[in-house]
Amino acid sequence: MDRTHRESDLERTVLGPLRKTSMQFWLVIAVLGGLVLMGAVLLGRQWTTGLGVTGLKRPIYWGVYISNFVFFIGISHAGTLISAILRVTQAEWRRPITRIAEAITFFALILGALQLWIDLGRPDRILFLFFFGRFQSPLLWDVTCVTLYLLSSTLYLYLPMIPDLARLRDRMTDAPRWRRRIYTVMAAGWHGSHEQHRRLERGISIMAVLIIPIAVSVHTVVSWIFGMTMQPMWHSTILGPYFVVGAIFSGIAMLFIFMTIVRRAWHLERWIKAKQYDYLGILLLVMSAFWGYFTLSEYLTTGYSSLINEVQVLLAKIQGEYAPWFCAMVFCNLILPFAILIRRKGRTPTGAFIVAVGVAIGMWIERYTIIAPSLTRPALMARFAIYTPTFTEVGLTIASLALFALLFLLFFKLFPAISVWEVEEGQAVAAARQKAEELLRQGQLEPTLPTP
Amino acid sequence: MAHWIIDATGGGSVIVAIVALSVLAAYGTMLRWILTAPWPEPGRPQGENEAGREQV
Repeated sequence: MDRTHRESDLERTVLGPLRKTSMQFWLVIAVLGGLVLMGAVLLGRQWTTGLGVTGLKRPIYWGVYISNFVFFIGISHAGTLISAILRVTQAEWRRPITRIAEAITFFALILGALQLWIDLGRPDRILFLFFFGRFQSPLLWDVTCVTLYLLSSTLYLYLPMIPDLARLRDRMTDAPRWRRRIYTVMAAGWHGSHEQHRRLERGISIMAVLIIPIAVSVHTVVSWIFGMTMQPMWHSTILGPYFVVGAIFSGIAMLFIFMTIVRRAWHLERWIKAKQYDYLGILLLVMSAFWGYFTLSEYLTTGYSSLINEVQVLLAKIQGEYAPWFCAMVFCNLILPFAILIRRKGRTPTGAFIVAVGVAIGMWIERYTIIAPSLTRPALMARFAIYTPTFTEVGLTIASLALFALLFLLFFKLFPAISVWEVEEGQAVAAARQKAEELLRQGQLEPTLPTP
Repeated sequence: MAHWIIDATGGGSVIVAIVALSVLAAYGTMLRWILTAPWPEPGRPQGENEAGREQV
């Protein structure tokens, strides 16, 4: 550590977990690592014996893996979109949570892409998309958008990290050599000059504006993979915005889950405060209402169409074998958020965490009930099919979630969970504003109004 | 016309490659612009990380 520098409370709190690692942390890592290992074994078995170990068979080509893909791509909106919107609107309360949100996006996108690979019977054929892809296919649109989103999200995560990486390079001098090397390389010679800060903030602003349409395009195109087919309850114009709303909804939920875990485990209670839970809770409620509105529109329109193929799928969802899933989805996504978050007292870390876990489960179920019922009752089949996920599919889903959590925790063991320089900047802005208000009250400062 | 363009570009793979390379080039240029800001700036106070930088 650089002894000549006196660390602020914020620095001490944020850099503390990077210096010391508790036994519990390694225990959690071991459990998650074990689950990931289990997933690797299951995947190896699937590759050697074929997709017969899953419940996937004609006409059910997509199942749990594609539900996971849509789910992970959905939660990737946590981050970047929420962080970008809050940055563009200059919401000051965003500062302590943007890093967590951006990291969720980065890892969720990697896990999302991984699901597509898992879903293939022949993993080497993923390259066919690049070699023999046809732009008429929404699958290639999806590859383009997701790749663009991953590139942009990586840069959007990295840019605001640069000043903190330079801080780590300068302060963590007692860290192991390999870590210091990482900090030095990633800090890329940052020296914190005024001009560099000005350019950095310009770059972050450009990325924040760019990333919003990119994120919207990603989930719209994911929905078009379904919407461009003639399957019942997929071929719908509402699917694009429905998916985008669902993605932001599940993204906020995932942000709540991870910010609560990091806040508790990294002792960041002084920085991630009631205000973040209150405001994000309101945002989650708004998205819950939007989700309910889109779901109602989708189901009501389908029900009134009286088209036999469409109605069969609808009935399977609301009173057939998928009815328990449907009820659980409505409870998790609509009833639970409103029951707990509607009152200010409910918008606490505990309340938000419970709702967020519920919404994450509910949104996974939503993806599953979009995919499975339509494929078990396809338009051109006389008989219904049955889809039952196997242990391999459930195991790989658990392993994917474990890998997501593992990458997230390891990342924040190496890098600060809070953007220190941005929070410091926020503190400076708040102090300057308070001082100006004081001077204004004392009459020592003339209020300047814009000339008409 | 659209089909002709797609066929002429290897089914779209070339389009994906051009998009990816253009984006990478644009992002790379922006990163370079940020990191190569003049330093130290004449007449300005030194940056917060300067002291530490010298030690590494």
